[in-house]
Amino acid sequence: MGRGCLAGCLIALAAFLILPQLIVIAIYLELFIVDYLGWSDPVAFINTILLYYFMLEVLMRMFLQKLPSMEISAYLPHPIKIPTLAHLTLTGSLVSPFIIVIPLMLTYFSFTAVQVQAGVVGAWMWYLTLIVFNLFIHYGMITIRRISSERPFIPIGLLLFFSLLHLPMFFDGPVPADYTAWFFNQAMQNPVPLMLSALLLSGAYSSAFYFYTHNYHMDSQGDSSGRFWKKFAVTLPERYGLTGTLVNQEIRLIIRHKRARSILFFSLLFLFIGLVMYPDEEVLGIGSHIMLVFTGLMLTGMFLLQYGQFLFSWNSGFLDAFLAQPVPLRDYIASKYYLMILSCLLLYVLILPYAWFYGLDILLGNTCMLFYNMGINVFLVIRLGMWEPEKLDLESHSAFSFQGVGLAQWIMGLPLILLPGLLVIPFLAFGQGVYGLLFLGIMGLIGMLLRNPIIRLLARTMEEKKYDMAQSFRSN
Amino acid sequence: MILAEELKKEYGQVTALDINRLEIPKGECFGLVGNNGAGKTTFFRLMLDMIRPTHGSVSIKGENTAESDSWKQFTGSYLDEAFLINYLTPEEYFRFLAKIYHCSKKELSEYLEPFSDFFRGEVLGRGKYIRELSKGNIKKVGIVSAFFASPEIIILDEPFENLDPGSQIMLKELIQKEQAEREVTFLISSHDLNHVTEICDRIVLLEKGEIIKDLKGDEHTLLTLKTYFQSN
Repeated sequence: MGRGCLAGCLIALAAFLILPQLIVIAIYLELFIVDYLGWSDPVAFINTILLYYFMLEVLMRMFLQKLPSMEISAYLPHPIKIPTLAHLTLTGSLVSPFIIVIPLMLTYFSFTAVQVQAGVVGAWMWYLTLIVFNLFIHYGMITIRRISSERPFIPIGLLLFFSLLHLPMFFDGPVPADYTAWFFNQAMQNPVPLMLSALLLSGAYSSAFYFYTHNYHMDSQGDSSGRFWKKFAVTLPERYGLTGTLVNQEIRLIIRHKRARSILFFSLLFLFIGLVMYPDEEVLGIGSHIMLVFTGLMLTGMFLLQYGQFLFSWNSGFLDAFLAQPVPLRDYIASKYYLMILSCLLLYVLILPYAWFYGLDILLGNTCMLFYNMGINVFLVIRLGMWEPEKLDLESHSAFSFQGVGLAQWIMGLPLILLPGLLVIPFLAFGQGVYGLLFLGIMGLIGMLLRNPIIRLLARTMEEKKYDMAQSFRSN
Repeated sequence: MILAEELKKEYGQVTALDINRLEIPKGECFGLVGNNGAGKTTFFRLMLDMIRPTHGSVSIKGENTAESDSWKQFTGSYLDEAFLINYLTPEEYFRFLAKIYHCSKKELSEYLEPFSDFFRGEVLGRGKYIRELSKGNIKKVGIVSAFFASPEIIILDEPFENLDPGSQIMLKELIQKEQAEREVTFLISSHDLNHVTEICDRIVLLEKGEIIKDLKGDEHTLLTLKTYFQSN
């Protein structure tokens, strides 16, 4: 209990630290855009990036938004009219992290920067347009998510649409952000964008309302959002034996549970950090190899670090299934190993284009750190995962749930990130950063070559640890 | 077939199980009864090497279950839902078992074929995850997984719980058939005295981790047990 309490305190502390920071950022947003990013017109800048914010929001909602559905079941047995319930559910859905971002970040900005440009009325119109437009996305996404649970091509279509939108840009065609910038620019000057947003909102709300009043029975809303993910069966071919089957099992686990899925999603999203890190001249300068170590480590290993934090806890609901069946622990450990290195390889391939744009140093850094992740960190993750794992509730619907996070999980991340940093320091001291990277890469390569004996060793360790692990998963 | 010797499990000061010697011969249908917390599940878990004994050992065919894995090849078991990978569909789970036991697709469908009545068309082909099934149907998936790949020993914890009456009868028939045709050794724990006395050749009564009674399963057993539980 002490450890759970400590984890709770850490989370509260993190929120306590992050929230004031966001407020500070919100207050200095104008200054930040002008001084740091070098835009002379901060309002024009915000208007331009709004498109990307909304696109990001749509995508995040696609994967992470909790659909307001089952809450209604508690009221169904009572004499309350269905439309009332639908309104109640839809209003209740507004309690969502996606709703507070814009008020939190842009309220101060509206009544300072925007007000200076457009006057009080203009600032209000701009602000309300944003809020109403955000609500339109909120209810629009609820409807789309409801529909797309039966039709998985809708989210894929949405992704394609966003990408295709930007295609003409590369042939000197129109830039989509210019249009949204124009739209929100108009919002400061005349009420048409606000009215248009209100119209869109009422349309989205009505469709969501229609959907809820016509599909309120438990069985018609139930698990339909899960069914969508059943259709995604990305699995390895059969020929990799029991290990391959276990890897496939774990892939299904990731695809079918929101919490695991959101880790995959964030690992992919995190790849974009390269856009911020790499163009910076400093990063690519002579003393930059330490940055290459950390970016390479995090970009190729994000999934490993995040998912590996709970490596065995993901199986806490059914570890007994593996213990009771003739599943050799060696195969079980090996499946964890191969799943993790597959994730590293996938992320590595996705960030290859960075080297094309920003130089071959990046390729070297990422390749060395890929080897390090695949040869050293992956084994550390597996070994540390056996250290006091906590029961994890896979059914927990929140994507940001901290259930199952214990002190051990917080501490175990440190050596994974700090160790390679410490290892390259001697090389940096002599100005030989490249050799430092190569050293890490070679260490990783040696680890990869020794994978079979190491996996056997880890399996023997688990042979000892399995009783305690299984016991902590059983107790509630 | 199965031998527990000086088997003891303690949690701190509390003794969960203390069995001096218990031998279960091949082909026996062994019933385990007792109040909650008597140590039934603890005994099964110790047998299956899922918890570490404080003292003593369990051996199957002369092999200590904590020291080798070979007994798992011919021992089927279902204690609780943690034995099932509940985010898979039943089909996916059975295919997974087929992989573990090196069965072909044809063999898999042959194994499942006798259970089609037992499933009543509510388990296979419904496109549901195991966790979305009703309690009774989850139990059925677990029981069939314990029967999977013709094991020589089958261990079931509370198999009748949550099953509808028809399925309970069908399960009894399945157990009797396996016992008669293949001399399968069954270990069954149950709170349902009627069922357990009906199918078991021998019934052991546990109380606070110790064997209180070791009875032969005949027409008097049910009365003996009922009298015992009424007076306690």
